[in-house]
Amino acid sequence: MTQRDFLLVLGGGAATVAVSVVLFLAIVASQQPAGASTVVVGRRAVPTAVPVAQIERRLPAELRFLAPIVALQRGVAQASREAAGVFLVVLLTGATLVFGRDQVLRIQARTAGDAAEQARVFGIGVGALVALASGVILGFFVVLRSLVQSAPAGNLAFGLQTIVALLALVLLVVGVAALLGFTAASWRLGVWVLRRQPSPVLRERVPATLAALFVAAMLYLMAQLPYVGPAVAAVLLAYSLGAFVQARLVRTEARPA
Amino acid sequence: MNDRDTNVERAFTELFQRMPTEHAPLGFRDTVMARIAAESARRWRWEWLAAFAVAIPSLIFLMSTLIEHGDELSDGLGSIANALLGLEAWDASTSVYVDGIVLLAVALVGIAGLLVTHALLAEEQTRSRVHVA
Amino acid sequence: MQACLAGNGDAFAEIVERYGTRVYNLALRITNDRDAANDCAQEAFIRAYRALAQYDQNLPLQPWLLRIVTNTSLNHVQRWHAHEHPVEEMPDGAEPAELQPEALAIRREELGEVLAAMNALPARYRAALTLRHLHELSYEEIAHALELPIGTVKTHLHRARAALLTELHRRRKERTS
Repeated sequence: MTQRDFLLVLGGGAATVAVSVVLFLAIVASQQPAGASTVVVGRRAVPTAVPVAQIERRLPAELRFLAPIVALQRGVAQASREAAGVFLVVLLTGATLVFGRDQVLRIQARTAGDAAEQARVFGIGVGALVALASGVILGFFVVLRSLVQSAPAGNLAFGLQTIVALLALVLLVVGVAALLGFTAASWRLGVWVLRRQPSPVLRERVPATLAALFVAAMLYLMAQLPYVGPAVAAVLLAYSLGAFVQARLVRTEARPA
Repeated sequence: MNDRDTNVERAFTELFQRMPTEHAPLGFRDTVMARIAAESARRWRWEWLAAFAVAIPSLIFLMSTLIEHGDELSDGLGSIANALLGLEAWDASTSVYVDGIVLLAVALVGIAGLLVTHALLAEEQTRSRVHVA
Repeated sequence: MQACLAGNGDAFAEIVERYGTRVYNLALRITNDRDAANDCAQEAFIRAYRALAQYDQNLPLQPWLLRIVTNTSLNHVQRWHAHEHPVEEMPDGAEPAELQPEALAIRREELGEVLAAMNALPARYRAALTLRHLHELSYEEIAHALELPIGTVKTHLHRARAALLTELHRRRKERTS
C-alpha cells in the first residue's frame, strides 16, 4: 500500500466517521419520548425542534463527549433542508454526466466558440423557447375548442386531463433537453474556471466533472437570488435549450485532431 | 521580419527537418495505456471508497429512521393519496416537512449510487481500452 | 477527440500512436537523455489524458500535446540537471554577425554535430528551436508552450540560433585544429 493509498483510506475513514456521527446524533434527536417528527405531510403542525440541551441529555454517558457536536448536527439538518434543491441539481447534473456523457460532450463540442458564438446559442434558445411557448398556447386553444365543440359533456373532463398529460409530456421532453444543455454549459464553465486556476495541482488534478457539478450548484444558487434569480433562470433555460438545439440540428463537427 | 531573418528561419527549419528523428521506444503506446489504466483504477478505488464512506452510514440511518418513524412516512403518503382522491382538502395550513438529515442521507445515497455507477462504467471502458492497446 | 472524451476504447491509444514519436523526439531534444525522454513523453500523455476535458476541441491537438511535453521535459531538466546554465546566463554578444544562412550549409554526415551543439545550449533554447524549426509552431504557440511573452520567445529564438551557430563554429574549429 502506497502512502497515497493509505491517505485515501484514512480520508475515507474520516469521512465515514464524520457522516456517521452526524447521522447518529440525528437518530438520538428523534428518539422517543417526545422525539421530533421526521416526516410531516398534510394537515398536521410542523413539529417544534427538540432543544439542543435535551438532545445532549439523551446521549449515553460514554458518548457525552459528542455533546459539542449536537449544535453542529442541528445546523447541518437545517442547512440540508434548505439545500435540498442544490442536492437535486447536483444529482441530476451528475446523473446526466454519467448516463448522457456522449450527448453532453456532443453539445459541448458543437457549441464551442467565442462570446459571439455563445450569444448565438443563447439567441437560438430564446427563439426556440418563444416558438415552443407559442405552439403550446395555440395547440392548447385549438384542442380545447375542438374538445368543447365535439366531445359529449361527460368526456370533457377526460379530454382536459389528456391535454394536461400531453403538456406534462412536452414539459418532460423540454426538461430533458434543457438538462442536457445545462450540464454541457456547466461543464464548459467548469473547465473555464479550472483553466484560470493559478495552481497547476488544481488545474490538472481536479476532474472537469467535479468542476461541472460545482458550477451547476452555483448556477442553481444564483437562480435563487432575489430579483436577479428569475432572470438568471430564464437565461440558463434559453442557453441550455439553444445548446441542445444547436447540437441536434447543426451538423458541424469539431475540428478533427 | 526582414528578408535576411526569413532566410535564416527557413535555413534553420530545413536543417532541423533534415536532422534524424528517433522512433518512440518499443511498446511506448502500451506502456502509456497501461499507466493510464493503473491511474484510472486508483481513481475508481477512490470513487468506491467515497461511495461506501457516505452510503453505508446513510443507509443505516435511513433504515433506522424507517423503523422508528415509518408510521409518520405512511401517514404522510396517506395524506398525499387522500388529497389526490379528494378525500382530504389541502390549504395554506397544510404542512410539508422532512427532517433535513433525512434529506441529506437520501442525497448522499444518491451521490454514492452515481459514484458506483460511474466507477463500474469507467472500469469497463478502460478494460476495453487496455485490451485494444 | 470527441470519441476519446466519451471514453471510446481505442481513441486515446490512437492519439498516442499518432503523436508518440513527435512527442518523444521533442522530449529527447530537450532532455538529451533517452530514458528521461521516454519518461517525460509518457508523463505528457498521461497528463494530456487527465486534462482531456479541458482541451479546447476547436484548437489543433499537436501544439497542445507539445506544450505539455515541453513543460514536463523542462521540469525534468530543472529538477535533475540544475547545473545547466539558465537562459539568462547566456552571453548576448557575438550573435548577429554569426546569423548567416550560409553558415547552415551542413553536410549530412555533420548533422550529428548539430545535435551535439544543440545539447550545449540551455534547455529552454533547445525547446524553442525544436518547437519552431522541427515542429514548425507559430510564435504564439511557442509562447503558449513555454509560458513566455511572444517578444521573449523571439529573443530566445534569435539568441538560440546565434548560440547554436557559435557552438557549431567552435566545434568545427576544434576539429580542424
